[in-house]
Amino acid sequence: MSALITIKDILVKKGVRIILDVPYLSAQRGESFAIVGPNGAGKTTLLMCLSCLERLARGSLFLREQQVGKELSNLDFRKKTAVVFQQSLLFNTSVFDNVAYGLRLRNLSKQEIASRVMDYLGYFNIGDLAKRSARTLSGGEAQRVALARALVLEPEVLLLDEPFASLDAPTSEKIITELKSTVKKTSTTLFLVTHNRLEALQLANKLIALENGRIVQEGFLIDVFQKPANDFVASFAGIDVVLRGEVMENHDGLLGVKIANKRIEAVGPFDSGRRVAAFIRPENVVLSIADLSHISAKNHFPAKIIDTVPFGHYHKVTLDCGFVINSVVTNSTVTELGLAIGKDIFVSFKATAVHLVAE
Amino acid sequence: MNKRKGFFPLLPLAIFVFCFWGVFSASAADAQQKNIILTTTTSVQDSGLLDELIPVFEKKTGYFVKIIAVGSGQAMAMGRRGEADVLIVHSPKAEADFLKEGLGINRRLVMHNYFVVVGPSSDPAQIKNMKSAREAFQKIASGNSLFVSRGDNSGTHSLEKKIWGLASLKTEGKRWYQETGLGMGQTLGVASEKGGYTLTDKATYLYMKHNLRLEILVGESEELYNPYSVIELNSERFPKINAAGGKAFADFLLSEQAQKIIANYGVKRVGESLFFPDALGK
Amino acid sequence: MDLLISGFREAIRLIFSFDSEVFSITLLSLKISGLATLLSVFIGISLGAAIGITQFWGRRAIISVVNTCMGFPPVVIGLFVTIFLWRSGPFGFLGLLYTPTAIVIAQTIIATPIVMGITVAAINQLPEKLRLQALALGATRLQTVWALIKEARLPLLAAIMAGFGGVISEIGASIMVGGNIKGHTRVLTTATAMETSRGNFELAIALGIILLLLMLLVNTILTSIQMKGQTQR
Repeated sequence: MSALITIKDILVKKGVRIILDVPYLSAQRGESFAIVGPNGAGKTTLLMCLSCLERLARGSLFLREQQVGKELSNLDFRKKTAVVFQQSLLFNTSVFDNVAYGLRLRNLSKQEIASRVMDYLGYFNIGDLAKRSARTLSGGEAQRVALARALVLEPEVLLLDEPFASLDAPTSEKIITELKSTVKKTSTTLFLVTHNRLEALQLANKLIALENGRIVQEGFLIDVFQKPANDFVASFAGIDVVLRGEVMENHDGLLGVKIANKRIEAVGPFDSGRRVAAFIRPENVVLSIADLSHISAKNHFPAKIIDTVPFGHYHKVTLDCGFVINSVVTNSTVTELGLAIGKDIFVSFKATAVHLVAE
Repeated sequence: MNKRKGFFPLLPLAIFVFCFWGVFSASAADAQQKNIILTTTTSVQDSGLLDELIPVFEKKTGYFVKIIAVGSGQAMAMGRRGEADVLIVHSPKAEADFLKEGLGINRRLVMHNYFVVVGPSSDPAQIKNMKSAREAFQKIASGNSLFVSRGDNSGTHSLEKKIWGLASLKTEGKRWYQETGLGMGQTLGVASEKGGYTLTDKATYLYMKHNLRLEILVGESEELYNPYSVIELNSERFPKINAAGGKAFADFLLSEQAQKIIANYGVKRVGESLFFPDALGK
Repeated sequence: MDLLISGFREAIRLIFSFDSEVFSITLLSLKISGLATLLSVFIGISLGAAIGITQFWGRRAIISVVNTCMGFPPVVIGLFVTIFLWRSGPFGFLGLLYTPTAIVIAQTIIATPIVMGITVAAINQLPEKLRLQALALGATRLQTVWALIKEARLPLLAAIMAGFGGVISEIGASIMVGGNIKGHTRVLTTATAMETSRGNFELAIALGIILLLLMLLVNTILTSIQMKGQTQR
C-alpha cells in the first residue's frame, strides 16, 4: 500500500542551530501517530512541516506521489489537511460561522455547509451551541469547536499540536472519545503532538520520538512502550525508574547484568562488558509475601517498601531491593498483602520483561 | 460572516464613487485658463463687496475667480512668489515697493473709504468728534485709556501704527495697549467687552453694531483715509500666471458697471455706502 | 450663554429651512472628508495589516515613524502640500491648488498614518498563531489577511472613526490648500473660522453645531456597525 503522506530529507535551521533533521518519515492512510519528545525537541516544527506551514530550508513533502510545491500547490495541499493548536484560535463570530469557515473557503453550497456543520457539531455534542458567540465558550467547548472546524473539512490528514493540554482531565477524556470515533469514521490519518501518555494510548497506534531535532525511535506504540530507546521515551511509556549497569555474561542471548550489587537476568544481544540501561515496566514487577526463589521467575529479590502512591484504581509501590524499582498493584492486593511503607516483601520479574538499551 | 472575499464590500464602494464624482467633477470644472487667482485682504472679503462684484464679472466673462482672502502680509508674499494673478490691497507703501521691484504692473486706484475710531459711549479719553485721529490717539495715550489693536500686520494694523508714529507715541509694552492678533470682528468684540478703543474699517463695525457696545467717535479725518488699489502681476516676471485673466478682472473693477455697484454697496444693508469709487466717470 | 442659545436656534433654523449655502457646505465637507477617509482606510489598513503580519528588518523603526506621523500637526502637512502644489512647485502644472482635490490630498495624508498606526497595533494584538490557523484551514494568503482584518474589526472601526474625526474637524491644512473659496472649497470648519473672524458669532456657532451633528451621525452609523459584530450571548 503506498504512503499517503511522506516527508524526505527535511532540514530546518534557525541560524546555525538545527531545529529539525528528518531524512524520512511516511504514513499510510488511517494510521495515527503520537509525536513525543522533551521540550525543544522539534515536535511542533515537525508538525508544521507536515502541514506545509513551515518554510523548509531543505526537503520535500509528498501527498501520495505528488510533491507539494511542484505537482501539488501549497494551497491545494492545505485544503486536504487541517491543523488544531493548543489554543482554540476561534474567530470572533458564532460557533456556526467558525466551523463553516473552511467550508466557505471551498465554495460549498449553503445547504451543504449547514448540514455538514450541524453533523460535526453533533459528533462533538455541541449542536446547541451553534448560535453562540465563540467568545463566550468554556475551554472545553472551544476546543470542541476547533476540532469540529478542522474535521468538518474531512481532511485526509489531521494534525494536532497538544490540543488537550489546557483542558482538565474529565473534559479532555470526553473530547478524546468524541474525536476518536469521528476520526475512525473517515479513516483520517492523524498526527498528535502530546506530552500525555493516556492521550497517546487512546488516539495513536504508532509513536515517533524526537530528541534534538532527530527521530530517535519510531514504531508501533505497543512495541515502543515495551522497548523504549532512551530515558525520555521510557518515562513517557510509564517507566519512571531507569536502572543502569553492566553486562557480566552472555549465554546465547540470556544475559547476566550487574545492577547496583545485584545480578539480574535479561534478554538481549549485548556482549559482556557493555554498559546498559534497563527498563522494566511496573506492570511486570510482581510482589509476593512468600519467598518464591525456587519457583519460576529468574529475577527474585527481597525488598523493602519505601513508598506507596494511590492512583485511583491501583497503587504504585516503590521498593528498594538493592536498587529502586516500581510496581503497580490493584487496591485489593494492597489490602490483601498489607502493603505499607517499611514492609519487607519479595519482588520478581521475568528476564524477558527487562528491556536493555546500550549506553 | 459572509462569503465575500474582496476588500470592498458594496457600501463603502458606493460612498467612494459618490465622493469621487462629487469632488472631481468640481475640480474638473477647473479648466486652468478659466481660473483667476485673486488675492485680497480679509477686510475686503468680509465687507461682502466682492460677493456682489464677482458674480457679475464671472457671468460676463466666463472666468472663475478664486478669492484667497488672507492678511495683507500674506497677500503680498503670495504676490511675490507669483502665486496669484491679481491683487486688491490697501497698503500704499507696500504697494509702491511692490511695483518698484517690478513684481506688479498697472496699479490703479479702485475705491477708498475711511477707517473710524470707535470706543465706549462713556468715552473716558474724551475724543468724541475730534477732527484729527492723531490727536485723538494722543489723548487716549495720555489718559492711559484701554486701546485694543489687531496687532497682526494687516492693512488696518499698518494704518494704526502709522497714526501712532505720526503722533510720536510709543505703544510698546504699555499696559493700556493690548494686541489681539485676531481678525477685525473678533477684535471689535474684545474692545466691546473690555470697554476699550480701537481702530476699525467702517463696514465691519456697521455689520456688527447690534452686538457691540461701541460707537463711532472719530469719523472722517485725513489720517484715516484708506485707498484700495488693484495690481496685476507682471507676466514677464512670472510667466505661469493668467495675465489675461488678471487684466480682465482689473479692467472690470475700473469699469462703469463695477464702479456703480461699488458706489451703491452698503445702502441696502446698513443704510449708507461703504466705499467711494475712484474711477467713476472716467 | 444667550449667544449659545441663539446659536443653537440659528442651527435649527438653518437645518430645517434647508438653507442652500449651508447645505452645500455640509455636503462638500462630507464628500471631501469622506473621500479622504476612504482613501486613507484603503491605504492605511492594507499597509498596516502588511506591517502587522510580516517580520522584516527595520520593522520597529517603521512602526515608530508611523506612530509619530499619527500626531503630526495637520497645518504643517497643509503647508508642505501647498508648497508642492504651488505654480512654482513640482506639481504646479497639475493646477490643483485651491481645489477640493487638494483638500482631499492633504486630508488623506493626515488621516492615513492614524489609520495605519491603529491597524498595526490592532493586528499585533491578535494571537500569533491565528494566521497559521487560517492558512491551515485552506485560506490563501489574501484570505488570511482578510480574516485577520475581520478579527480586528473592533479596533479597525475605531481607526476609521479616528481618521474621519481627524479630517472632518481639520481646518489649518484645509484653509491653506483649499483657500476657503465660496461654493468651491468652503467647508464647515473653514466657514466657521471665517464667520468667527467676521464677528458673526451666531452663524459660527450654528455651523459648529451642524458640524458636531454631522460627526455624531457618521460616528453613530460606524459605531453600530462596530457593535453589530457582537453576536448574542
